[in-house]
Amino acid sequence: MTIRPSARMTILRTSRPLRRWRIGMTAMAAALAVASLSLAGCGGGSGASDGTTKLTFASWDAAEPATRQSTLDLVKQFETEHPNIKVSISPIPFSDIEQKVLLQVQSGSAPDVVQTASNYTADFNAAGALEPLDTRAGQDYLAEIPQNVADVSRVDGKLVAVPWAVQPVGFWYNKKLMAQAGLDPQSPPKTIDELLTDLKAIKAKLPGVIPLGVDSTNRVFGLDVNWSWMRTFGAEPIASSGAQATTPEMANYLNFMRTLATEHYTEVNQKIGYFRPLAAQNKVAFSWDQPILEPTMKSASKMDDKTFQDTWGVTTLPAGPGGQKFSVPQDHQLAIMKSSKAKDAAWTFIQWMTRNEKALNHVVADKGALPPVSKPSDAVNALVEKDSALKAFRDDVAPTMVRPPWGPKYAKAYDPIMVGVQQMMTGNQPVTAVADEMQSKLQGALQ
Amino acid sequence: MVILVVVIGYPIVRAVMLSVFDYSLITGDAGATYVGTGNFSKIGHDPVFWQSLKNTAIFAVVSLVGGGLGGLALAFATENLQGPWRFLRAVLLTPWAVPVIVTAFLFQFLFLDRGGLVNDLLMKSGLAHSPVPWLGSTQWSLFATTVANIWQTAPFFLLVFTAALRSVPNEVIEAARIDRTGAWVMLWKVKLPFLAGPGVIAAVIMTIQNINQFPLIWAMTQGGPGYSSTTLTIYLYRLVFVSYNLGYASAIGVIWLVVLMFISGWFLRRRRGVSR
Repeated sequence: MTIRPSARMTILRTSRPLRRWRIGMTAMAAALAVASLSLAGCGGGSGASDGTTKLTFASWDAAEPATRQSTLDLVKQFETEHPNIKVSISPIPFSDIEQKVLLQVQSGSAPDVVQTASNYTADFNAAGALEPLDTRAGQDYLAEIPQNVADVSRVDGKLVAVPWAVQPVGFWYNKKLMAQAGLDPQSPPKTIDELLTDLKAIKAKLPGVIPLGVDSTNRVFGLDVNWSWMRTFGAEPIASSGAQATTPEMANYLNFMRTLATEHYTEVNQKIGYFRPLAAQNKVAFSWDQPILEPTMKSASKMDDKTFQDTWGVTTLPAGPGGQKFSVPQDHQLAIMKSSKAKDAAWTFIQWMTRNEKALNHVVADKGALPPVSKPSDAVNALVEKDSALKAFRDDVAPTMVRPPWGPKYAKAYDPIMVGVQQMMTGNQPVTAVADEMQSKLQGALQ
Repeated sequence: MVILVVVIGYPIVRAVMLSVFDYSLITGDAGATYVGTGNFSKIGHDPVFWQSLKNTAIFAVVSLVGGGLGGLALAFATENLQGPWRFLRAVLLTPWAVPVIVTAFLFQFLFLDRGGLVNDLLMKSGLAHSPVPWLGSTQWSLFATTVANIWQTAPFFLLVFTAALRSVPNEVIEAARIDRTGAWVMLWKVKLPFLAGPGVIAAVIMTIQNINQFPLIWAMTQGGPGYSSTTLTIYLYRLVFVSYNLGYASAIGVIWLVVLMFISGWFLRRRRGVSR
């Protein structure tokens, strides 16, 4: 049977499946239109008809199980004290927050306030997304922040974020394991030579223990934590003059990393998060980690404060040939996005989060970090004073913080550097070959 | 058609457009500069691209062969299971149903330096005197991720080959038996030809899945140490979401799309040949 073209059109016009298809498409178009209108309302703060201002706050604390509930409670407390401001929390894991927020910036739907840290802040600023805060903060606010802590939040001299939780990386040592290895638990290594001697003793006496937990992953955080070790040996693979991976100092650092791997003093290409649960089980003797290690270990092992302080201590990174000691800041900061339509409310929120006693109590008690002010209230100070590890971070480690050269170039440089470090730790190429390859890749990346 | 254009056409067109720009996610449209074929010529001198391509080929081919042969062997081994023993086939299919991320963590624990089952077995049996750094060495990391992928994908082949074996006509089997055909000839000459068609289809699907495998490798090694287990998808992810170099990543993506189309076309032509 054949159907004439005109008759075929008539069948098509009136057929039930086609009508259903048209209805379906119309409904889909309507749904898309509604969805796009709803999405348009998502980005940026806005004033509601009832006089309240709505803020969006992108935060990894709100996404991580350890800090999620306390962050939600804190924001609820802020809303109770500021009934005219409503905060909508956008929980984004730490590892995703930079890319998600950058995509939101490019699509015009950025949050009002963002939790940020290390190179993220520099990248957000390079994207032109951050509101300068010097004027808004004012002299009185800034005077309360220790100078080296405030400097971490500055890019080219401009304050583009404010410190919320101060987290330098420190050298954790397990006193009980040191004693078991025949070392003096009250005398952690002060130099790289002493460290190597101690690592050898631990390896020999305690074969089931990882002597040193250090992140050697190929990511920005990996380079951040290794930056202090590089500086300890006098190396700075990226400087204002460009790539500097072929210096004798860098060779010394790379040889040290090869020793750590070949002597099985550490495990290669592991995130610091891999070592934390092992540390809680007394299977890591030394760890290069942030203050957050304390609440993480306590929560994992149900250890009380006294047992924890009897077991773990914190000090500075052992000194290298130059005798200097280094740490790297991993401070959590808060920033206002330039696209925010509610910058005043956003600043009110940030100011409360960085100054209110409940908020600073949250920083110390829940986040396990140092408050961002020189002189916190007596109650907050008491929390720090009773914690020997936090006290060591404040008095000994924080003064050794050196800001890496964060910025878009740093984001391009971490891959060639950390790949070279991993090649050194896992391969048998001569150090000069690894350094030459790193130099060549670095030059390409920095161009 | 509209949906196809929006969902498939737009991303391809956009990727082609971005591939001729030096485009960073940090600076966006405002900082984009036209570089013509610059990104494509850069690929030729990029050692990481070539190492990723080599790793992708090894990972995809070894996974395909390992998974295919494993699935085929399991299909023959479980072909005549009767009664409650048929439950065994369901158990063998479990790895296919397990989320990839769970497989990644499972194998990460199996391959741990200390306390990992693989190293424990090797050391207890005297085959190794010290733990093998499966995931922490440039020598073994690609092997370890490939083994995990074979474990995950072999059940898919088991499923396909089991279904194909059931479709072998009884008359053919009976005729072969009447001719007193031996077990090996029955398997090789009688049954295997019936598995070729479904096998090619399964191979196309698995090749593309293996080539695009991301979560398994990322969760186990993040492409390291160095670039030892970096495949093209891992490299692309790093370029886009870590270095934010969208222009160069798009150029690699465009080339990769063409390569995948060729691979699919070749497999499909082979299938037509098999069908005839």
